[in-house]
Amino acid sequence: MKNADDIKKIFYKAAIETNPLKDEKILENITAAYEQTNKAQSEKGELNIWRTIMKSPITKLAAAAAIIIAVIIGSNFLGIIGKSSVAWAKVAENVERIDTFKFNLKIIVHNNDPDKSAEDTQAQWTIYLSSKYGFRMDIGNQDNEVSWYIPVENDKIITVIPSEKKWVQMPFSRDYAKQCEEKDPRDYIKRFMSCEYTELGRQTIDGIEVEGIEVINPPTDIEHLENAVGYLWVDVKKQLPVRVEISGNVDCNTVQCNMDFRWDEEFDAGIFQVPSDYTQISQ
Amino acid sequence: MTEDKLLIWKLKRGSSDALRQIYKKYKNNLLKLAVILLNDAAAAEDIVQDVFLNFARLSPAIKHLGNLKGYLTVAVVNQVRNHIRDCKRKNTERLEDSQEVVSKLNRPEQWAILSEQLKLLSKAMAGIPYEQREVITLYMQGETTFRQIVKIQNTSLSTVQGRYRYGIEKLRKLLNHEVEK
Repeated sequence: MKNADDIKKIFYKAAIETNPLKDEKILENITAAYEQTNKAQSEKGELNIWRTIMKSPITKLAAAAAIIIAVIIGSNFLGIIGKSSVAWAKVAENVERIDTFKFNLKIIVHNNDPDKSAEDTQAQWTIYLSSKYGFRMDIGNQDNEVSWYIPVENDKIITVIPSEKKWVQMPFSRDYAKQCEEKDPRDYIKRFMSCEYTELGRQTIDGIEVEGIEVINPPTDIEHLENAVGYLWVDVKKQLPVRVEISGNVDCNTVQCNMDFRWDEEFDAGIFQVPSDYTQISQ
Repeated sequence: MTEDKLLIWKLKRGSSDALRQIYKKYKNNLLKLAVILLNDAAAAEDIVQDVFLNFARLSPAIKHLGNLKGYLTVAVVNQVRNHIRDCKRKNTERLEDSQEVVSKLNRPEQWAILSEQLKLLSKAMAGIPYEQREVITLYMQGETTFRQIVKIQNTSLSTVQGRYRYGIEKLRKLLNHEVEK
């Protein structure tokens, strides 16, 4: 034994192995502890989020928007946005401070059947949220457009039909908030993140540095979505979702869903007002 | 390092699979570290299990995990120190005298399976003061730099280097003695 190098060789050669059966038992224990902590964190986060929602008019409206969209498109895509563990808590915290927010969802259905029309079917949802002015959502496809308005201080929802220059006002149901409370985002994120995913690294989307993941066959509530791929991009600095993209096939159709988010957008007050030349329809 | 970053990233997003991969990647290394520091395989097993259990419980809440290997290594070292302190307090086993502790391996539910070379090394290491043993083990087994050990031991660089030098000298004699036997 001459020097430290010889001793280092002994360290290197001094091998250790473990009993595989015991390994499995230990793994069971630590996995259970990990999942229990995750569950507790999730519950804690959920409570905080709900408190935030209840406190802030802007997040209350955002929650309502999420419910409305989820109902309309028959899916739970919005779950992806909020339930990225890196972003959700931040979203809740940040949204409370953010004055304005714009969200755009576009769904494109391309028919791959050579015997049918090659024209794509599109639908688009654009949401504007402002703590100053309220909420507006435009829903449109090739043929129709409908807008919904919810003023900040009123418990009412206004539906506007631009093509007919008409609008109708209804009470803003507290059931929307209730539905939001009953929805459990933990389940969805668990499903999404339990999938095998690949880190995509960083890139720039519209000048924003983002970090993304790719999920093959992401869980969605769209029936029979095959060969699906999902991408989630999160703003590295703000810890807020920037873009979600999901594509897949349903029968002979290719479905592409793109969701874009913009925070702190400047809005004109007129966006949240029904044009004066529109006629009100009685309920 | 990149692989670790990916594992941490997944772990913080609720991936149990990432936890399993971390366990498989580091269990042998951490066990060996604890065995060499303690010369007590049973205690080393308990400590490493505790470290993984605490890591599993705390990882979702840890904001800056940084170097995964370094984090786990320091966790083992801290647990070993606590164990030694508890032993001294209880006045049970004196580690320096426990020449045959490492060979108490015929216990039920044995986890660690030690090679003869590791037994020999652990036994020899038990013959040097703990601070020196910690420096040598971290440096040789934990691939920790002297500057990192300075932080772990909360002392000066010259003290760490001195502990290493004296420890190596003594260890060499002890190992030579074992080989001659």
